Amino acid sequence: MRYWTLAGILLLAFLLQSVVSSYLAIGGITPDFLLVVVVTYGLLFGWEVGLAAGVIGGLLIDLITPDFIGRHVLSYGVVGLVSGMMEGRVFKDNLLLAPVGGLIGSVASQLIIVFCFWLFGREVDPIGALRKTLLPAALYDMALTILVYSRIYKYYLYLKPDPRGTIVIRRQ
Amino acid sequence: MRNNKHVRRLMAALLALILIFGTMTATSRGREDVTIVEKAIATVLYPFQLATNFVATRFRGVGTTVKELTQLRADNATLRERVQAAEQLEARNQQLVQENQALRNELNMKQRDEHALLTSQVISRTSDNWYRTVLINHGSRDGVQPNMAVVNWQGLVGKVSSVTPYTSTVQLVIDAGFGQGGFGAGSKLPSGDLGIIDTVQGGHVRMKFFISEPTVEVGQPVFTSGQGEMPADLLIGYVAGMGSSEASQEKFVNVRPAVDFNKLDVVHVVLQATDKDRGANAP
Repeated sequence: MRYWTLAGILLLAFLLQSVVSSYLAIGGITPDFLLVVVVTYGLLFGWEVGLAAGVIGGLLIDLITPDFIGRHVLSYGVVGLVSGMMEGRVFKDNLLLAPVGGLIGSVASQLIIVFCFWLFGREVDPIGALRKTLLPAALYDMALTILVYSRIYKYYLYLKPDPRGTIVIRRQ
Repeated sequence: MRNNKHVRRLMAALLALILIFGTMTATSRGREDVTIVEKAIATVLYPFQLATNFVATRFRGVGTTVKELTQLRADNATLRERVQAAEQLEARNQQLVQENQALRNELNMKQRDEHALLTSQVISRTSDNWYRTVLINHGSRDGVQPNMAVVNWQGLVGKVSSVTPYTSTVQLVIDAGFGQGGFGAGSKLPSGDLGIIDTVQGGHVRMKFFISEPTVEVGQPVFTSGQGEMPADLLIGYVAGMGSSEASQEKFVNVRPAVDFNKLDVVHVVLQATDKDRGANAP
């Protein structure tokens, strides 16, 4: 596994998330680049990579956003872990995998964050939060996952070379 | 052997959860000091944010110009009508200023000092959908401190929530954490009824009252009272409607913020809160 390349992509996602995402907001909703990369890593490379990416990415985001630290570590970590556990059970080239993974991952991640808000005494308007933030953000993340997943999957064999080597078939 | 592996994994997961919840608990109570790691990340991100803002401003400028040209004709007609209305209002305003001055003299009230304002540029917005914050290009080196009020020409924008040497994070009025950490923004109505601003997750800005039967009308302006962190008499917004909490039957009003948070480019940090702002000027 080419871990440095994976770390580089994660760092790029963090930069996009912290610097560019606000300019890509639609109706006040920003895309979650890190979550999308975490879901993609989990689905393609397994739970160890998904969990590690979730925890590191979550910590970075927690350190640049206000309020208490740890909510993104928990939400991204859980999403990375669960999507990684699905890795062996799904076909990686299935067209539905990326959108479904992105949608479920985004909804799950945001529900965990809302749970953290509730746990630490923040008042939450459930209907308003669902209508104004959770659902639009999940749809945005779903669309973004399709793009990011297909890009990373294209280089799957480069990122995770087969330990047995590559068979090259040449036409005579 | 397999069981041992499972037990070890379970223990590791439990330890991780305890660590995460411990960190959340430790940092959930009104944190003002920024850690060295947070400062370092913010400082590293600063040039990227500046560059992105520069590029985005150029692109936005072209798009806005085209859009504005198409709207200029309609705006011109509307503005002519408004100028006429404004002239009438100006005359009425002058009358009120004179009346106000006379009343002030009568009550022997001191003229309010102008606040020292630091004009800042918004260089980035929050990257998290659950928060409503912006990043400005002035930090502790420019004298900005946590909890300072931030305004623009429309009214109260928010307060400074954290500061790094070169940048500051401004928590907008529409952010759910705005009223937390003490009385973040004491508020008042023209009738003199006092309350506090409490923003609920989902974007609703509410004013809760200290009395059970406040005198409220839709459209009334809501100002800061000077009680708490904010200086007095900053326009927060306008009363949009009334409501009451299902659990406690506590009455509140929904406030439509005066500031257009989608068009924040330049804001002003109120550098010094005077003694008058800390309650003495409240009705």
